Amino acid sequence: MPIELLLGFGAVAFVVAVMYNSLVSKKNEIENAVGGVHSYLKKRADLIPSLVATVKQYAAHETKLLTDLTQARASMESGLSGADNLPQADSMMSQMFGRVIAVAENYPELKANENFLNLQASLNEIEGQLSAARRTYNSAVVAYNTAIESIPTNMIASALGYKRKPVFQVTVAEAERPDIAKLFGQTGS
Amino acid sequence: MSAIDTLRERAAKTAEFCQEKLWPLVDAHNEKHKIDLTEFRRRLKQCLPLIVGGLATVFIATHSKTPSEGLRFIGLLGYLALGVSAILLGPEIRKNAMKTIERFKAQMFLQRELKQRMISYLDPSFRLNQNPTFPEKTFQTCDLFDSSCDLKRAYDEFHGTIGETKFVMTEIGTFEKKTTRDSKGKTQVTYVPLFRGLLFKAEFNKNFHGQTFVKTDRHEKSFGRLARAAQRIAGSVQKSRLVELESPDFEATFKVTSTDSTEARYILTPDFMERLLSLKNRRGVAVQAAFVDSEIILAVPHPTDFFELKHGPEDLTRSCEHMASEFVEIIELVDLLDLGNRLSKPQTPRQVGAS
Repeated sequence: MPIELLLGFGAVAFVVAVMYNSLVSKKNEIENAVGGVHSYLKKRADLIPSLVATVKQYAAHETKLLTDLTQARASMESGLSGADNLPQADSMMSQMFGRVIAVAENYPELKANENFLNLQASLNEIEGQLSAARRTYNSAVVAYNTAIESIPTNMIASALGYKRKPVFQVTVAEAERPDIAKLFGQTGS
Repeated sequence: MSAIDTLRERAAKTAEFCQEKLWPLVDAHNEKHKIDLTEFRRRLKQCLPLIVGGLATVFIATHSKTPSEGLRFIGLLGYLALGVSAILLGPEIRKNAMKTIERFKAQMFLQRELKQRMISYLDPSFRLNQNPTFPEKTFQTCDLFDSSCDLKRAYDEFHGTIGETKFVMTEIGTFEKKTTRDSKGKTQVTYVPLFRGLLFKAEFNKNFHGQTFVKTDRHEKSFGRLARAAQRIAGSVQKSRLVELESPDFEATFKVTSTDSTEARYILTPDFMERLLSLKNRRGVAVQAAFVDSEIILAVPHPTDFFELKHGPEDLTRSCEHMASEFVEIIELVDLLDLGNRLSKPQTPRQVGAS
């Protein structure tokens, strides 16, 4: 076999390998980003026992809210383990936190409680991190979707059976979630 | 009224403060360190014939084409006249030289005192560091500059608190040594400025553990996607990787690298990106930022001396007003970047170090 042909095959094989690796790396980045989102969802769900305990001290008769909170946490955990619908559980949990903050408005002592304030700050911190994790996921998905639809990587992607992945979208419930900052009118300066 | 509003209000009344509190200081300084040259002038008048005569005779004696004993004697007389003048004028010259040095030292002290009073007037929490050292640690960790510079200088350093946000601001300059050789083979060393401006460090309103850098992107505007691809490849072999964000305007202006892309997005929310962009547009200079150890470090170029006070009566008021407005503009960063918003930060008291 002439050397030119061998070199040609080698170059093609190299380019294919680079494209293949790039696709695999993009796919893995998505999985990594999903892992990040899940870890923040778990972290947020883990705030619920402390939140329930704090709310109970000042608003023990809000039994419906407390039960719903516990239920939301259970749904989230089963969603994270794959047994339940995760986006739905996520949306339910976001709504629950909104409700807790709204209820706290009726209980000035609860609103002023240091534990509650710290929980609220932690919740805001996790919400921020969660939002960042979702943006990381979306960025990874956009790069992946672009790669599997662009020439020539689309040929390798279709051979590997790679399909488009959906980006995270804000649900109606999330879009309507109360602005905690405005609700509490609390800034540092 | 917020801390920044109070600051703005005080800055607007700088002229009154200057007239009431600073002018008396300058007047007292001028009175105390006045250099009276009357006695010196009187003695100079007395000695003038001696000096002129002495110089003339020395000149004649040394430049004569036919030297003789008589000329040598005249020359000696000339030297004698000059010596007598030196004895008569010497103590006065020495006294005035000492006074001038003393006045210069006092002026340096006054300059610091005026600055300190001025910034304490703006906000009692603000402090001037009398002996600033170059913030080497901040300079190295922020990774915004070429660390191979040959000369580093710190000019002024201020500490303070706005609301709950502690900050430290250092005016710095970094220089590169350039050696040039002229046609005669004579070498000349010059220091070319690499950066002159402010290093502003403040506690950030969020906790984070990684490092995120927001640098001016000079290449993407010129080379577009090609530059981004090159940055991506370069980033893949470095500790900090390129982070591509959603805002096209922000992406075209800045290059973001981070040790943790999710954390970079946590810091650089869409709102914060807007704020950084508006800060850059407002100042019209290449503002850069680093986020390290839950602190923000901003590098704001400022080619001229930032906190310079002049002593003349009109100059002092004008330069104080200028300093106040510059100071407010920098402190407004805290407001503009929303650093005072502690809503997402569980309480963890910490110190913002000067280094």
